[in-house]
Amino acid sequence: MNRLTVDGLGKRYYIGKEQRKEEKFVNLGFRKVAVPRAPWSRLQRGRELWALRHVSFAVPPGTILGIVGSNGAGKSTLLKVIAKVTRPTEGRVVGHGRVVSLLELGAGFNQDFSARENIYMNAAMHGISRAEVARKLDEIVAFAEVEKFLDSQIRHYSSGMYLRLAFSVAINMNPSILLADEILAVGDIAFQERCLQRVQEEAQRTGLTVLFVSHDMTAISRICDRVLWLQAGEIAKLGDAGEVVGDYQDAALGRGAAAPALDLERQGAHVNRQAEIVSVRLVSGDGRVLGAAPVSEALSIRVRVKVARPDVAIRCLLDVHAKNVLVFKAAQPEEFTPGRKGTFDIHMKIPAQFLSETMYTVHVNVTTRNGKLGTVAMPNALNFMVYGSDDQTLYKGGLINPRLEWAVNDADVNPGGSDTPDDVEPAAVTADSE
Amino acid sequence: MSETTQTARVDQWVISAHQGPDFVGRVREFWHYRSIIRFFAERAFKTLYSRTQLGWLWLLIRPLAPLAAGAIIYGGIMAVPSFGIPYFLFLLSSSIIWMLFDGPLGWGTRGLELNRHIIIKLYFPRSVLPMATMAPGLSDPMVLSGLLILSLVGYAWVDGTSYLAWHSGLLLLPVPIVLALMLAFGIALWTSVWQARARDTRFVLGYITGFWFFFTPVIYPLSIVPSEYHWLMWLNPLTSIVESFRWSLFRIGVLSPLSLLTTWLTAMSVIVSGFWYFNRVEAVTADKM
Repeated sequence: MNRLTVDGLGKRYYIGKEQRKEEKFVNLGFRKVAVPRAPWSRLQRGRELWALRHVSFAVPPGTILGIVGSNGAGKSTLLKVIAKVTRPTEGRVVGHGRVVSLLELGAGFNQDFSARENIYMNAAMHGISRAEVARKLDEIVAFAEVEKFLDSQIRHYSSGMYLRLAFSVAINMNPSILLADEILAVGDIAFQERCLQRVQEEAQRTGLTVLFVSHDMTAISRICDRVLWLQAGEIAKLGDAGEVVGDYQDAALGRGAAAPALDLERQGAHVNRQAEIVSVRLVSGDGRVLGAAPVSEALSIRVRVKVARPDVAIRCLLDVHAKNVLVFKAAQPEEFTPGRKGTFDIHMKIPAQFLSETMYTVHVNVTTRNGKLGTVAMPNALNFMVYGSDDQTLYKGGLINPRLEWAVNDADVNPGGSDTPDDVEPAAVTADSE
Repeated sequence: MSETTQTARVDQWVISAHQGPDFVGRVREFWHYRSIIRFFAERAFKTLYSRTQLGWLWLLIRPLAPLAAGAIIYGGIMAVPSFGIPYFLFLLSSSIIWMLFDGPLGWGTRGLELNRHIIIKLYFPRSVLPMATMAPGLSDPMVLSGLLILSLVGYAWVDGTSYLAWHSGLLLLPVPIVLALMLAFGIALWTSVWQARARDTRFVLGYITGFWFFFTPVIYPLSIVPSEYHWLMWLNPLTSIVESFRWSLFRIGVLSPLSLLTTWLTAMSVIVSGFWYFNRVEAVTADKM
């Protein structure tokens, strides 16, 4: 018997503002004014959009199902429907047992409450009684490793502690079905490993079924038994993790049959007599290798170079592309001479809130100078996805998403806000300042 | 193993497009989740005077300022009769019971609006929200209640008489309080949905309760209304609430058990219909938030 059966599920949203059917105007002599329509008059709906359509699948007990797809493919909507946060437009879901959702880290946590109170509250939000939580409290606290901070406000918690607490509460509530949106991929690698182990343990012991949404293909491949790939609200593919992830990545990166030709320099070997590019990876601020990262995280691109001669001068050059457009080029400002043979990691740091929600491709060139100049190239060295983890960006799109400073000055009062360029000002002023 | 299969069958749930839980199921669910009311109540309370300069001082200023103005204008200048007790005590007690209705209603109306971010991330019966969010509305009447106790002691000290009626009617005091809160909750079930859809709701409601205030014997006793219009006054469920509250405290005005009963019936029907309406439209409303 399946733990979860999804049958012909569809969810329709209306995009754009609802409008009254037709506006009436009244002429006041000097201007026309729209007559406000009664609030109960029929609304003309916006453009309809099926966030999910014709989605059917079944999950047997003990399965960890990964859900992948680009932004807006319906992954989160699917979890929200199963979590009862939003009601489907058509179709149905039949499930067995308790559903616990981790759709957002700490949704249902109160910053001003202590961890202990939050544990009770969070459980209560899932309809679990105080008595049941009291029995599990020690276990929850031990797994989250927050014994010492149990009675301090969680606003003082680090993001890692927060995550551990949220996950620990969720897993210790004995869910039959656990819905996790991106969160398993957030913590440090040791904790991720512990979560995974615990999830697998529960999967075997109680038949815990997990639906895990992530953009991090490394995490998906490692954790999941099966993977569901959603595309524009419909199932593109459902199957074994390795296979589906491979196909999805090919499609997302535009590889395979329909691969657009990237305008690259000569596809060189990524080794010469001086140096070799061993690997190029996306790493987080604390050094974890990532497959995808949220917009809100500071990242770096790590180029691992094996240097064959001690006296060679190395410089790393990166071309970052997205959607077949060159986003930026970056060169290491100074060459470095390693002084010995060996392997070196060159990091290019990318601040948080700089990249946009899209897939990036990095081409790497390493120049070697030892008397004469040589180049080691690694085109298509790295592909990674950046995704929005919050709704903080008001106006999305584009290839980068930098946080820029804005200012408003009163142009009527402040003469500095003049429209005329500075160099048109009287020469005397310029002379004065010199 | 067989046990697991058994529980699994018992635990089966279905989500479908049109079939939510029925009325009884909704009530049961509300009861099951009752402990989260405290959570949302505290949350709402925190929004009360956060980011204000005077902070908690507002807790005192807001209820006391209109009381002081009212006591001077109605009691002093207009000399509204108050059955021989100081008009200040009369107005203070009336204000307490009025604010027990008005405050929670205004806050409960914002129940969905203020918790939008949780509604879109976590499932729980949303009908707890109008109730939980009523909590900050209790602060004003509580401050005034403290003042009432102090004033009663003060007047007893100065005038040498206790205006508080030491009679068995004091035991009735919880009845108007509960009725005021029930009525507020029932109406908030309706208005919170409208508020989630259109923020104008709160302002319109402000005008309505503003008129309602003057058509309820809050600043004046029912007895100064010409008796041929009394039936009209009794149609207002708040009339019996305010009158019985004052009767219970001071043994003044009218205690009408019949109208208390009709008020209770009114409140119950507003709650039941409101609960039905709320649950019928909450899913659609949440999607539009």
